Amino acid sequence: MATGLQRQNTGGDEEGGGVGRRSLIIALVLVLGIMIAEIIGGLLSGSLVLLADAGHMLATASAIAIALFVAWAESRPASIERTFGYHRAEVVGAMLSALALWLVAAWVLFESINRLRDRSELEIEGELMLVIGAIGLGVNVLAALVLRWGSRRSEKASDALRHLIADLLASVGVVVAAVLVLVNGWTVVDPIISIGVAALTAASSWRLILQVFHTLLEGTPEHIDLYQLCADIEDVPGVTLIHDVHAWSISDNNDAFTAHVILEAGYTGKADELLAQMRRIVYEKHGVSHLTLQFEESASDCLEDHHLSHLEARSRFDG
Amino acid sequence: MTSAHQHDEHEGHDHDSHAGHDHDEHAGHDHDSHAGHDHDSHAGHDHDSHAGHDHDSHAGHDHDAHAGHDHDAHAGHDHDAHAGHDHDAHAGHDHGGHDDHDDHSGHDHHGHDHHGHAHDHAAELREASRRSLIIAFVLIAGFMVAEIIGGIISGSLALLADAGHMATDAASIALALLAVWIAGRPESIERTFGYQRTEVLAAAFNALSLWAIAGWIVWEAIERFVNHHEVHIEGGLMLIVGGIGLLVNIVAAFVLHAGSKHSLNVDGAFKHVMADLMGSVGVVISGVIILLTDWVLIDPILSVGIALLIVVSSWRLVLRSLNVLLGGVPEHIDLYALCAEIEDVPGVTLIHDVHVFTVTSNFDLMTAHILVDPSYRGLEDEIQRQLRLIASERYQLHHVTFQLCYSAGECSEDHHVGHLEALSRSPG
Repeated sequence: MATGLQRQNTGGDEEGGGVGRRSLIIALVLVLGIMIAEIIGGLLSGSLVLLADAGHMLATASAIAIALFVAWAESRPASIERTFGYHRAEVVGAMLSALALWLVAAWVLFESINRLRDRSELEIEGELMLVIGAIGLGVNVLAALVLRWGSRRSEKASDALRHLIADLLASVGVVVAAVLVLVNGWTVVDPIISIGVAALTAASSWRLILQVFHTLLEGTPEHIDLYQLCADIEDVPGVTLIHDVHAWSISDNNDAFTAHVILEAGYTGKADELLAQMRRIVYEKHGVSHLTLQFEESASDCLEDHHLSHLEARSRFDG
Repeated sequence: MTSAHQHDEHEGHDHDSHAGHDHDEHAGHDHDSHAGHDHDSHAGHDHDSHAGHDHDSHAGHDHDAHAGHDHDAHAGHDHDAHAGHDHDAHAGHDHGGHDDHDDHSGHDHHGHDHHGHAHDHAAELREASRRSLIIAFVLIAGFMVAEIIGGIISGSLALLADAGHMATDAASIALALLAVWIAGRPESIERTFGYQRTEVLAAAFNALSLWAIAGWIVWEAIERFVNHHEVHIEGGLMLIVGGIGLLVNIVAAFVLHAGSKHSLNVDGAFKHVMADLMGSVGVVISGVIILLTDWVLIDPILSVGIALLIVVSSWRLVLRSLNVLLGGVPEHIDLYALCAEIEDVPGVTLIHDVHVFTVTSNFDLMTAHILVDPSYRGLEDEIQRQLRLIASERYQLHHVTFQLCYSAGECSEDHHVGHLEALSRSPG
């Protein structure tokens, strides 16, 4: 049963991955193209906001590239060096891209403050800025549409979509700044809007960072009610106590659960049946895909240092 | 004292009563001797050493005692006793096991006390890390403040620039300290491993930020190369500041060096100090050369060289911390050998679904599904005990969970690493 579910999931992912992959590649090419145009335009026109937007594009491009890498990596088998396969690559990739976003944002912030302090050199070619900004906005809309089409089936493409909406805001900022520079000659607008773009870049990664940290700290996946899971296992006849409980997420839709289960004497010989029962609870009721349960007659032999008796944990939460 | 005590108990116990009872039966007599053994030696041991509360010697004792006891007692005991006893004994065992349920709850509590050891060891290492990090932080932050004050008074940009370098060091050490502090927070039902991974995250961040710093150094060097005429380099002052900074960095690096071997987190801070140390050497060398020859270009050239050195020296730290975050097998564990040893345990047919990963430095975790010969039914605890000895004593795995099953057909996990399969994939 559970295996069937699991296979279905995997099958679905593969199908979605195919469609998602094509749209990811298209978006990546578009984004990289406009990014290079913005860097050149930014240097030629003297507009910081173009460079800031290019940084934002770079972050988007790296996020898309990571999503592509993950799609590839997840198809690779587990090995003796990497017993969970490359599932975690996704999470680590997300962490690295978030760090890259912050780096870009910090540089733009630094540079805009510099330019605000020394306004004498603020000379900006508004026409070039407007043309490139408008093209950037157009490319972003196009890429967003491509990804939207892909995201109907793939989770990862929808992540990239969120990035692109943030990108749209940044591109709109570029166009607004260009218009103000052209029409009113307000060159000060350029570094000010750059700060906004930098803030947007950093903010768009904040939620991602929180999630990534939870996963990398091997936190309990949000959809698992660990207390209920432990209670369900302790309700199995023959079970005295569950301890040394750990649940963590290997990657999306892929969770692991391990615990030590103390059995009443006399039940140790029936480990297979108990295991079958618990497997059903863990797989079907709680949707955890990977399970390792250690049965013991007593905890005295147990040399482990980390004990999370769920009862103890409960008292901490209920009390 | 305690170690000797324990050693005797164990050896005597294993050879006499264990071997003896295996041959007879698993009835009450077995559990008596077991219970007696646990209560006396372990409880006594705990109380003695805890009262003494000597952290250093405590750690030493435990490990010596354990290691010694296993290799002696086990080699003799397991192989003889097992072959003989399994086939006679287990029929009666299942039923004999029932009686002692009361004893078990008693066991539990002592068992939990006993767990303190491994935990203490990890906690001691963390405490040692914390101490060395604090010393290094005080040194570097103190020198940085002196530089800032000196820089403001004298108006020297070189002093302020060097204070900036020190600031990145101080920040990396502060991050490592913060990670140690957070990692010590208790585990909860939402984070069953607590916050221990923060140490690895801090290490990864420090390592990656070194690369960012290296990139920035190269950028600056290129700028200076292009407009070197604009840069005023105060050769004499640079030399003095660089020299003192070098000394401070050497002392700090010395303080952090020991910890950097057993903690990725300390290693992250250590690599930052080392990078700055190399930077200081570069400043001194270029200061001397500029004083002697007025060849200003040496400064950016050396900078690029130092940036490369920084990347090379932090390369392994980046790989190791990313490996931990990716859930990879720790470098010091030969998983193939470990699996082979487990399969050599009498009664074990096959090991599969093997996972070994690091939660944080000095805390490795293993889970595996182990297929057991059905004729060993009822001896699960004995098998578990031997498996645990292999994992915790020989491979220093701090947390193991072994699921014993009699048929793999029921096993429906989706990622299986049969080590045999992995072996066939690996070269040779």
